[in-house]
Formats: sequence, C-alpha cells, structure tokens
Amino acid sequence: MAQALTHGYRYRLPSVRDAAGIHLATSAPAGFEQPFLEARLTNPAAIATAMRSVSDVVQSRHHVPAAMLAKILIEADPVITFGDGLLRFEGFSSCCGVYARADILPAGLDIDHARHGSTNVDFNAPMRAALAQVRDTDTLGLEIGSEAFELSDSTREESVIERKVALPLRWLRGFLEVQAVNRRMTPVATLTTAVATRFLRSLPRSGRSSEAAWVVPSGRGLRLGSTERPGAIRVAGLARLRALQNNLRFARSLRVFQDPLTGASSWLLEGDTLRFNLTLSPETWRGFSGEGQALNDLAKPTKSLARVRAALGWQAQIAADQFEDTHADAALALLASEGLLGFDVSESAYFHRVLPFELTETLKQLGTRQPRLKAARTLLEEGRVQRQGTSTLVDGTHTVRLDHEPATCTCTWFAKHKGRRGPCKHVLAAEIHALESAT
Amino acid sequence: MNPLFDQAPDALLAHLHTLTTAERAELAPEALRERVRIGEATRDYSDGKATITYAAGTDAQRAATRLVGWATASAEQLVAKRRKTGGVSLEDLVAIGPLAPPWMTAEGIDALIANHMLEWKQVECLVQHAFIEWPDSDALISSIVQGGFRSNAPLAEVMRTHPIVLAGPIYRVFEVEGDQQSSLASADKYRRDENKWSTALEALAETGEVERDRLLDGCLDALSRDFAPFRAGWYQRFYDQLKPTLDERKAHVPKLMHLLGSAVPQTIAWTVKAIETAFKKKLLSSTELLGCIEPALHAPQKSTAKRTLKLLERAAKQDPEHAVQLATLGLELLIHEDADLQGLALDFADKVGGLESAIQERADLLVASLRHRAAAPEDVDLPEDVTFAPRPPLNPLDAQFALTPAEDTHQAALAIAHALEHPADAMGLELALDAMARFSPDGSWDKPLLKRAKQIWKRQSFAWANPLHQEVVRVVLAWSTASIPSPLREPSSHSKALSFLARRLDHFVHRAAGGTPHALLSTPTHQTGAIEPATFMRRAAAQSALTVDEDAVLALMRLPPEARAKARALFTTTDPREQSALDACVAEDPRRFTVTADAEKHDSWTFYSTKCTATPSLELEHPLQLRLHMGPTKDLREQVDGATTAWLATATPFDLEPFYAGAFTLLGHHVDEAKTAIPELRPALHPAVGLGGPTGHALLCMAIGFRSKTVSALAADLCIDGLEQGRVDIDLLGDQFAELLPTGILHAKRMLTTLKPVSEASPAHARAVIRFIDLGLRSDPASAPKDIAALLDLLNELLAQSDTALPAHSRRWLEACDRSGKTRTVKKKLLSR
Repeated sequence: MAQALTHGYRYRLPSVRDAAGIHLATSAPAGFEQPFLEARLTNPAAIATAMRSVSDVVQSRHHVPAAMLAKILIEADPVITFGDGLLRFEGFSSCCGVYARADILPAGLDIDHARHGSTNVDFNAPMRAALAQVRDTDTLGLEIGSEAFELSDSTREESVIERKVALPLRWLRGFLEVQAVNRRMTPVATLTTAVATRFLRSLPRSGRSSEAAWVVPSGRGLRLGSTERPGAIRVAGLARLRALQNNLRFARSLRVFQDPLTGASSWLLEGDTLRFNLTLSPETWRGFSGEGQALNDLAKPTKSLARVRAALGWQAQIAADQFEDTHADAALALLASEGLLGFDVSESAYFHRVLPFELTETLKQLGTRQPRLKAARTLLEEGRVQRQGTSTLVDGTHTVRLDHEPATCTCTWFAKHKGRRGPCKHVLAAEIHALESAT
Repeated sequence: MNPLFDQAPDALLAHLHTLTTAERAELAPEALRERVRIGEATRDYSDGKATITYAAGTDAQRAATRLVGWATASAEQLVAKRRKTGGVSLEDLVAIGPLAPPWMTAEGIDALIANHMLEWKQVECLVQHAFIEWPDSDALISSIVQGGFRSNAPLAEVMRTHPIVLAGPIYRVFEVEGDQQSSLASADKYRRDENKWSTALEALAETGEVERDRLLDGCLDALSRDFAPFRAGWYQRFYDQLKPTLDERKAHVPKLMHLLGSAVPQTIAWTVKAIETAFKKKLLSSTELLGCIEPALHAPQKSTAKRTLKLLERAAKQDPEHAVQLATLGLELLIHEDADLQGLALDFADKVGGLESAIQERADLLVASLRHRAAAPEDVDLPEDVTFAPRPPLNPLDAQFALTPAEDTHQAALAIAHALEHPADAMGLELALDAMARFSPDGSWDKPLLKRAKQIWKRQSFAWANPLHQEVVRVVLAWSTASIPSPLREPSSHSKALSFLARRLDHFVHRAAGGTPHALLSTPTHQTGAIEPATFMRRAAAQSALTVDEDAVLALMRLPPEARAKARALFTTTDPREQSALDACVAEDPRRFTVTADAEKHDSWTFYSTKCTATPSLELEHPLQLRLHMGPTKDLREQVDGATTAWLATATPFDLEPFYAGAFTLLGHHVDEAKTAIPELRPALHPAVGLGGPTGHALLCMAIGFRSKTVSALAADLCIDGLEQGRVDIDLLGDQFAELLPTGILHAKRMLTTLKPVSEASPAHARAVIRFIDLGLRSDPASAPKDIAALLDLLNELLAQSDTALPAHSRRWLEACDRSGKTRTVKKKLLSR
C-alpha cells in the first residue's frame, strides 16, 4: 500500500444553502478560523482553466507500474500555496511523471485579505464542472482557508467546496526531485502562442503514450523529430503535453526548458495574469518520486542548514544564487526533501512552501533516508569503501571512478541508467568517502 | 463448525437481532471462512448437465453461513472472499436489511457493485424497503446503464415498472461517463430503436414521467464534463432528438456559451451549430456572441472554425455597429495554417474595412500566398536563407566516428555491463566482445558481470523476447566461467541474419570458454561498423592462421570496397562454397535490386514489386552468404527483431542497398498500418550513413507518405539532415516519387506531415521540396491520388514564399489535369503564377 499522510479534519457545521446564498462548512482548528486568501479573480476564465488543467494532470496517469493496483495511486490532490501576492496550484499525475503548476500572478488577484500558507485540496467532480463553466465575464471570488477552498460565482449563485485529502509520500519525494531537475533546466525554445498552438495541434492524437519523440526547433517553430540533435527536446509520451492545450488561448508565449542530464523538460506558458508550468519526467514510466537527482546534494554535509532555514522564515522566494557557499545546496536539498522548497524555472528562484501539517521525524528524514543514500552510508559504516589510486573499490567488487563525468561504476544500476537517474549507491559511497577524507 | 450455522434462518435472524453491532461484526470472519470451506465443490458435466458435489456441509449450513456473512460483514470482507461468498437473494436482503450490515453504505455498495457482487435491482430493493437512500454510486449508475432493464419489451415500458428509479438515479446517467461497456453511447449503439435509452427517455419525457427540463439540462451538463468524444456524442444527439423549444433554447444559451470552451472538438462543433440556431432565432445578441465565441475560432477542426466565421459574418450583417469587433475577432482564425480559412478571415476583415493594422500585427501568421494582403509584407520576419553546398557524404571511416575501445579493466567492465543492459546497441555489443577478447577475467573485476549475467539467464523468457540478448549473455557467461551454457532458444529458430551473428558469437564463446579469446577480425573501428584497413591487416597478422568463418566474412564486408581484394587474398580455402562466400563479400554489386511501381496492384496492400538480379557464380547456398541473403529474398521475409536489424545495418556499412531492399519485403504487407515503423531507415540518421541508390531513396519516399507520425518524424529528420549533408539526392528522391505516385500507395495529405516541416527548416529546404513535388508530377494526372490538391496547395505556398515561377513539369501536369473541386481551384492559382 502506498504510504500517505492522512490529515484529519472536522466540519463544525454542515454546508447549507439559504436565501442569502451558499454557506460552506470548513473544519477550523484553533487559529485557522480566517481564510488565508480572499480575493477576486481578474481573469477568471484563464485562471479557472489553469486550475482545471492542474487537476486534469493530477487525475491523469501515463504509466501503470507493474504489480501495482491502480487504486492506490488515485488519492493525491493539488497543493495550494500563497506567498508574496502569488498563488500557486501544484500537483503530480498519479504516475508522478508529470508535475503541473499554475501560478496566479499578482495581476490576476484582487486581494481583500491574505496571509502566507499552503493547503492540500480535493478537486472533486462538481468543482471541475464549475471551473469548466467559468467565463471572463463572470465575477469570480476565491476564498481559500486552511481547510477549504471555495469558488463562488455571484452571477450564478453556485458554489462548490473542496475537501482536504491524503498527501502521498511519493509527492513529498516528487517535490524534492522536481526542484532538483528544474534547477538544472536551461531554456531551449521560446514560441509565440500561435506557433505553439500549431505545434501542439500537429502532435499525434493516438499512439502509444510511452513512445519517445524529439521536439526540434525548426524555422520559427517546433517540429517532431526522431533522433537526438543539438537543441532537440526529448519528450516521452507526447500525450502528456495535452494539458497545455486549453491554456494556450490565455498565454502570450511558450518557453521550453530542458535538463541536459536527465532529458526532463519543462513547458512554461506565460500570460499577464498567470503562468502554467508542466514538467515532464524523461520517460513515462519514470515518476519524479523515484528519481535520485538530489542525492548528490543530500550526501553533502548540511552546515548551512540553520542559515538557509532562517532565510526561509521570512522570504517567499529565494534566488538560486543567493547562497554562494558550497554547503547551501545540501541545505536547500534537505529542506526540499521536507516539501519546503520548490523551484520556479521562470524566475530561476526557489519558492517557499509550508506544508499544512506537522511532519514527523521519520518524514523529515525522508531525503536522508532515501534507500540509495542509506545503502551508501551502510557501505561506509561497514568499511567497504577503499580508495585505490584513481578509483575506489566499493563492496569488494565494484570500481568507481570519480574523475569521470558523470562518475562511473561497474554496477548494473550504472550500466542501465548511466547516471541519468542519479548516482548509484556505490558512487554515493565513494563521493561521501572522498568528501570525508578531504575534511 | 459453530452450532449457530445449524440453525434455521428465522432462528438465526432472531439471534442476530439480539447481538450488538460489534458482536455481529465479530461473527463475520468465521461465517465467511466457513462459507468458503463448505462452498468448495466439484462439477461433473459428463451427463450433459452439471452435477455439483460439495466436499463438506449441508445446503442449510451453506445458506446459513451466507446469510450470516452478508448480515455481518463489511464490503471489504465480502470483496476479499468474492469468489466463494456467493450472491445474496432479494429475500435475504429484506431479512437482513433491518440489521444495517456494515457494507450497507454508499462506499460499500459501490465496491460490491464494482465487484459484481450486487446488482442495481438489489439496491432498488433496499431503497424500496427504506433501508437506505439511493447511494451516490457511479458503479450503480453504470450497472443500470449497462443493461439493467434487459427485456424484450420496449425499454420505456420496462422502466415504468421501476418508478423509484425514474424518480431518482435516472438523472444521474447524465453525470456518469461510464466506460467502453457501460456508457449510454455504447448501450444504444447496437440496440433496436425501441430498446434505446434515447427513445425510452424521450417517451417518458413526453408523458411527464421524467422531467424533460432535467433531461435537457443533464445533456448540457454532461457535455460540460468533457467526456470522451464517443460518449459525449450521445448527449449531443439526445439533446437534438428532444427538439428543444424556443423558450428552452433561450434558457440554455448561457450553458451553450460555456460549452464553446470545451476541450472536446466534437462538442465545440455541435455547440457552434446550436449557437448558430440560437442566433438565427434571435436568442443571442451580437454582444453576447462576441463574449463567448473566441474558443470556437481556435477549434482544431477546420469546418468548425469556418462555420464560426460565417456566424460572425452573419452577426456583423445584422449588427453593423459591432462589425469591426466581430471582424477583428475573426482574425483569430489566422492561427490556422490553412490558406482557405485565412483567406476567408481576411475577406471578412476587408469587407468591414479599417482593420489593416490588426492584419499587419498578425502578418507573421499569414501563409505565404496571402502575405501580400498585409499592409507591409516585407516586415514579416522570415527564416534566414541558406544554401547547400554540394558535398559528398561523409566517409564512414571519418576520424570523428572512431570508436574508443576499453583501455583498462574498469572500462572493459563498463563496456560489458552496457552490452548486458542494452543489447540493441550494435556498437556496444562489438565493444563488449572486443573487451572480453582483450581482458581476461580474474574473478574480481568481472564478478559483478557474472552475477548480472546469471540473473538475466535465469529469466529464461528474455530469450524469446530478444534472442540477441540471449547470445550476449551467453558470451559473458562463457567468458567469465570458462564453460559453455546451452542456448535457451535453438539457433535454428533464429532468422538468417541472427543465425549468422549467433554463429559468430558461438565461435567466440568456444574460444572464450577455452580461455583463448583473441581479438576478432570483424570488430569495427568506427561507429558505422566500418573497419579501418590498416587495423584489419594488423589483426590478421596477429593471428597464426586465418580461418574462413563468420568473423572473416563480416570483417571483409565491413572493409571499404577498395581494401577488400587485398584482404580477401589473405584467406586460402579449397572449399568452393567458402570461396564463393568470400567472393560475394568482395564482389561489386553481387545482387542488384529494383523496386518498380505496379500499375496492376498485387493485392489491396502491395503496390510495387521488388526484383533482384544476382551474379550466377555467387548463388551457392552457404550459411556464410550473409550478403546474398540480405535483400528481397524469402530468407528475410521473417520478421527480424529491432536489435538484430540495428546490428545488420552495421554489417555492410559501405553498401546498404541490400539492407534497404530487405525493408521493402517486410513493408509490403504493413504499409498502411498506422503503427508500423521502418526500422531499416533509422541507421540512416547517422551522418556517415548514406541512402545510397534508388532503393534507399524509394524507402524514404514511402516513409514520407507513411500514416504513422513517428515514421513521418523520422522521414523529416532524414530529409532535413540528408539534404544538408549531401546524403539525400533530391532528384533521385523525386524520381522514386514519380514512380510511386500513380500506384495510389502515397496519400498526399499524409505526405504533408513530413514535407511541411522539411520546407519550414530553411528556404533551401523549401526549394528542395518544390523540386521533389515537381519531379513527382511527371506521372499521369489521371492516376494521381484523390487528395492531390493538398500537395498542390503546399506547392503553391512554397512558390509564393520563394517567389518563383511554376516549374515546367508541374505546369504540364496541371494543364493535362481535368480534376474538379479543390484540385481545380488550386490548379487555377498555380497556373496563374
């Protein structure tokens, strides 16, 4: 059974509808009576479409892992975070291979009342139907409490309430990995909406969803290619890009980023009032939660943790280059493993996310207890790592060469993935050994 | 067994009523366990009917355990034992209903229906007896839709006998999408009219037994849920079938306006028609139209966009005050890369007038033939022109393609581990063999390799999925353990190509197991599979005696043609078949292949014939004759797996014509299948692999017209790079196109998927596409495909873009063409250039 954080909630009153309108019940623990955001949307159709797209992604699945029941993967729901005038809806597909985030920019919100906060919401069917019916001429209010999310339309006297549900641990791992991948991304193409629309329409509607293709900048647009070439973007499962289509109408441009190491790509639609970001894993069968892109950072000593944590306390956003010392990466990775940090490719900056529940000690150590990292530490503790000239002998049989880029190992994991899914336990053990020897 | 289960049903129920809920729950596991135990039965069908014999228990005990199980268990417990628990009768349900069993919740009922343990009629029974309210269960609705009213009588009549269903869950059929079996669309597809849901609901609405308003609203709400197009279609048809009145349409206008933003193109198309009707009946103002119609202009379907523009024109005519706004909105159509649609939008804008600046703002979206309609077409930012300097294809022996063999045991281990995990990488396999030949195992550095090889070997099924993988693993096992594992799959079941490779590996296995592996003669020195002659001579000199085997034959084939004769002279043999095999390796064109388009089609799928002319003296049958087995012979008719195909391309790097010809043999029967790929073209993506002569170009031409977008992308890559790098000869490609066009195998619209991106790569590529189309238009116009207008349209756009005159072949073809319709329209445009 997939592990999940179940966060209990109680309704103080049932939802009722009376002559004055709809009153939606929220479960409100002490100190959370007030919603953290009350605002009107200045561009309701665009924002509703983006929110619905995030929900679409969350409900989609592009890969069903073998020997795993589909049912255990359908419990996740988007996370909403507000900070510095920016409202972010984010979530992963059920297979954890697609990360979607809609950022409602300050221009998209006419705020009455706001404070920093995050919550985990359930986009149920009536809410999705309500979002599909939002038009620009509607007057749309948005109220987000710590326990409920309300979308009220004064012109139609309809409202839908969301419930909080379980946040799976794979999401926590996903948040950690997706920020590590996004941080390495480099821009590869910028398109106008018209050109982007033409490209997305040219994509095959049928076909195996796992099929990989290369998207190649050509002329003023993009085209489908079949092989790697400079500037080409590898996309496995082109169907995963469909979430962009409905949002194109409201965007000014589409920017595409790619992580040169893993081949993961990020597709960013930018408009006046919102940004819609879709990050795709390198393969449909590779969920972000199972990657190991942050392992190198997590393996490093976390000397700057206190300083970085202190900085987080008062900033909603942290520039990627704000901390210049070498230990900051480890601290940032550790905080990201607690779900506290995300990375915004458009701003090239971290953003602060406070998960709406207390993490247990076990969960706080989710990053450092990553199986490969744990195994590497065991190898070190048991003295099975020996330096032999330019190479390191790990576990008696595997030779690791750290002077190669990426570091090479003779194990099966490395032969399979060539470092594209993060380092193997042997490389990690050799790296930690080298770091400890140096200090 | 618990004596409880020996009691009569009445006494049992009376006893259950005396227990608390918790006490009843404690009984559940035992009841279910006993039910499973005494439910075990054998069935004998020998006398034509089933005779059931139970291993234990009595019928009364079985009934008692079932009753107690259903009266006390949760849905989860029942589902866990679903195969043995047995169903529950309506009588039992009525009896246990007052006990409110734990499964009697919305979620529980949902789970039981989903697991086929409960039917909707049983739920209806529970509702009728007021044990529960109708549960909010999607599975319940699916169960009703899927055939809950099966009867010979008309569906409406049957439904009338279930009034509580008509009062409640019937309206939820508009909320649940269902799946392939249980949607309204699939239920109605093969039924007689009177048994269709649409007919029944319409009849019930006429008599007021169901609320007509709720049905109409339900249809629109269902459409707003973006169900799959097939399932959404039912709601569209049913809405139309109900023939909404003017008042009803008026009330529905807001919902229809919302539906224009649907994610389902078919729903947008239907909504545009409904909005059009509403506008004609004056139920919608121009201002309202302006506020909602934009998404329909972005609809991917050309017909929807066109209809929407017509609607805007009608609105502008009715309401001239808003004409400018409407025409400006119409310019959104320029997002479609279609000359017809763009032309209509521009016509509308011109008619209204004063929109020059709006058009200029969008000038970069205009197709080339309409760009002159922008105020300042010269301001449009166009791709930079490039020209291709004619250059010969790169040499497969170019230094940039040189392979780097392993230099130490670490690199050797990496190479062998790579081959174990990626058997389809032909060069990876060769480098691994090379590493094994040069580095001896010592039980230390090769230990993880042996462990992994053993792991893979244990999974015997891999040998069938990928026979080449079996061979690779076998080599590693032999090399590391000095013993020869028996093959998991008989080499005789291999294709000719794989057999050749398997025998080559087998020789290596025997040498490796004997502890005397030596460097193979045939290990490539370059990525394309080519061997540098000097390296070959060094390897040959290092061997004490040269034998004529697969290694030798492959080495000769991998050498450049000019070096083969000298290398051939190193081998001496008296066996005429071996001599013939060696001669075939060094002969120039031992077999010639021609692909000819057939006027008379072979069958519904094959439109061409392949012919092979062989050199008679080289015709001797011998397993070493790999080069002679390649091509359109029966030997390669068998499907070759992808990994072997990739390897085969490296066997004759200087002469791939037979390799491409082999692809035609396999292609013949699958050419119109959407998912078919042409793996034989993939090696040609390498910058040093040429398409060679007519066969390779004919294959590329086929790929250009393929239905699969993956193959189209491959063909576009080959055309773009091949033209730049001198590996694709556009004249030769055009000749093949002219051959294939009259056969009808190539559809013009499919070719656009490839040719358009090629033409957009650069102006020089665009000129190459013009040349390609022009050369193709040398055939008889009467035999051209029906959709040839699509290709002519592209030609028109490219000529406009490059500002060139209509080429001679095209002019002659168009003058001789007497097609009507769209072809005639484009013909006029082209001839007027």
